[in-house]
Amino acid sequence: MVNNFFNRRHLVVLGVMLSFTLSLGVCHTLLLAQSFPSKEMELIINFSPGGSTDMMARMVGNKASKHLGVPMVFINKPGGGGAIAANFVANAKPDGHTIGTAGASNLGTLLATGEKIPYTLKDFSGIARAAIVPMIIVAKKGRFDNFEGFVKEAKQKPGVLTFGSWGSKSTSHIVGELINQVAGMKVKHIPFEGGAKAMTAVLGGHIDVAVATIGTTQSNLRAGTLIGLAVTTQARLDDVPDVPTMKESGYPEATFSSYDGFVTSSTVPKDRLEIIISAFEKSMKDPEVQEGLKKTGMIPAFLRGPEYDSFLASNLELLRAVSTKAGIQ
Amino acid sequence: MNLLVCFIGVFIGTLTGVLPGIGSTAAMSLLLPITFTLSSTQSIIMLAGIYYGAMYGGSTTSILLNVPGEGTSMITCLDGYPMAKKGRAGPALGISAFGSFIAGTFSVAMLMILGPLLANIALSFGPPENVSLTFLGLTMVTYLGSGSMVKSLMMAAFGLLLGCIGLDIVKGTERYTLGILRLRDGLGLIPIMMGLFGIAEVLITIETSLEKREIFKTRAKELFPTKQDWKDSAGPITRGTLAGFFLGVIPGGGGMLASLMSYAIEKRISKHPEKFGTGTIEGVAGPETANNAGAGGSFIPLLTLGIPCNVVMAVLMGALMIHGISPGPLLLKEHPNLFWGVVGSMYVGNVMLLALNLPLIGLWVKVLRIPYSLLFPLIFLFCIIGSYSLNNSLWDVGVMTIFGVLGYFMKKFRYEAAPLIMALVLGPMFEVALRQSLMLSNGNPSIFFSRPISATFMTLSLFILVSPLCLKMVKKRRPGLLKGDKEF
Repeated sequence: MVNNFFNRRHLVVLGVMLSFTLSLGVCHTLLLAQSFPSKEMELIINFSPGGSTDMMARMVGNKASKHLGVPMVFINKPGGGGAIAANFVANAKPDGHTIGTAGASNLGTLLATGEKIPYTLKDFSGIARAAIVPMIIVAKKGRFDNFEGFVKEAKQKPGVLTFGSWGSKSTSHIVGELINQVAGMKVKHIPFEGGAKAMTAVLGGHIDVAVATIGTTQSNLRAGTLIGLAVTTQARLDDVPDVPTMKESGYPEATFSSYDGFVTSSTVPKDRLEIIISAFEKSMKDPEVQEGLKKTGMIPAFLRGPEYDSFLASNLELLRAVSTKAGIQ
Repeated sequence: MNLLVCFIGVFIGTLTGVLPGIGSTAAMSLLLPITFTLSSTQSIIMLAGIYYGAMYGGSTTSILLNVPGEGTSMITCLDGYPMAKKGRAGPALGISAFGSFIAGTFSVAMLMILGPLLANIALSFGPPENVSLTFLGLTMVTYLGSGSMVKSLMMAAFGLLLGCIGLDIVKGTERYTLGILRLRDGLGLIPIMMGLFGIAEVLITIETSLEKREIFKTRAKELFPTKQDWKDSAGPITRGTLAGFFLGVIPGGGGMLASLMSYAIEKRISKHPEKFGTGTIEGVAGPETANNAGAGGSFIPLLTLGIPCNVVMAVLMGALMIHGISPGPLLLKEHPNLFWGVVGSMYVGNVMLLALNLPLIGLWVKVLRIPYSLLFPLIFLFCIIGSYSLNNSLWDVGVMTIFGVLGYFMKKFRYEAAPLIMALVLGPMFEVALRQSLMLSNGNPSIFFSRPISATFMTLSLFILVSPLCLKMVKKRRPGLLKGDKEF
């Protein structure tokens, strides 16, 4: 009979099963909330393998992975000057397992020069600044004696001398125009596809100077085929101790270096962000990581998450100001 | 130990070369972490081996399945695949393996002897020289077509237009990007190529019944090249090696330009140019040799000047820097072990690759015996995985699919894909170099003729453009004088 079929005992059993399942679900969520990260993390690198960003990401990321206790999967998503990767990270699930590289490219020049980019700085929370990438003005050996000689000739012949950058609207282009402005010169900008191509053009005598990174130029600087006219950092660099800074040459306003670091989506909860930040902090303190970064021509320069946020914001303003003044929009 | 590392490198390289789209860059980046644990010499040996192996392997799929594994293997498809269809896959693979070996050995020898000197010559190639060189390449684009000249030109024009999509190099203006972030970098060569060649070929082939006829006459007559093949290939191999090597040394020259030039030269001086495109051995021997010579040549700027001239070299440079070595003018002095270790491994690697690939020819030819109904889904699978692996994005898979369908219609109406691809590659290169040159000269076009190297190439290009017209005029006056002219 129907009543007996579905009697009290069955109800009890059903109730137990239900509550068991529910509590499993609750425990699962609680467990997840308590143990972060609970699965492998994805580090989205915004450039192709082999470049300095890629090297930095793998070095720092590998160590951070040990501190986080989960594997770190590196995924290169180049494209759009770094915008593709940044966009991906900004829109990823807010569980904190997706982080990415970001720096002067995708969160700097792209946002400063009026491009139609689907994200803003507010979509990201900084994890760490990893490195400063200093820039150096190089010329072929024998072309100029020093920076003053270059400035003198440039002023004598406005619009004749040429400088090469690693891309239109890139940090090197903007810094080049910045130097034009502060020194009162009119050196023509010739864009190249990458620092190596600009350096090749200088070596071949096709352009007069190039704004490049230490990483690209260090071997030729040491061999003497290239000479460094000035570096854009606060202090002289160990790699090239004979090259004066822009400040020493009389142009302190032209002190600007490129930078690279790690960010994640701003939707990630603060407690998880803290876990990631401390893992990266420990990774950056590792002497192996610091050595590795120096070998690729970068200066290890750790900044904690919130400080990286403010650093990104202030540099963005600076980039905006210079590019507007130079007409790079 | 070094030998073992070399072998692993070439083996993995061949594998990744054979799999379309999963090019040497992807393989090298996957294996970069392993190189951290090896010494610097061993890492470079392995990475260089991968690069070489990929060059060898890339021709395999081009010949067997009309799917170019890398940009440089595209030209091999033009005559290699028809040869496979005629049952001559074995000789095609054989000649390309031997040609690659000869080219590789030659370029290593030249690296040893003339390395630094050549590097300095390469430096004299600035933007105006690049303009002339790419202009020369563009004039030869129509040599890639074996059908109607007008249709080839249409496809080349279309390729030029497609090459415009993206950001303009000087001002960063968006062109045809439709507000899509991805299009800021343009459409991407490899997905388009895989679509137009690989996917389209499959679509066309499955139109004919799958069971009725064998797609490949696989009663392979010979597995190895015949004496006649060797005789025919001797010239192309020699010319291809020289042309490919010098073009590879020029930073940014590119393997594609090398294989294009080789194909065009062979077709031009051949006694039977109309046979090109139907499966001539010269059309395989020349380009394959050229792209391997180019690969060897591209090591020179890296090892002697520290300038990486393509993505693969950039990865190699990164790997070296991690070990604290900056490749450049001082490399030979400061790290002679590394330099000679790499040179030695290139010789050994070439031998290993030859030994690896020759016995495999029999195996590859058997692959063609797989019923097409089973083979084509595999081709699709590899193409999809390959195109995804380029940027870890489905976007490239989408581009490949669209161009696959487009390529199907192109094949139906006999429009050829090769001129399109070549123009797609050369167009942007030409434009970049042109604008840089004009910026340097303040808009004065005489810069292309006032510099000796540039002037030479420009004159050569103009000569090539104008000479058929002159020949036609001569022919009109004395009919029957010249044989072997192609009709429209």
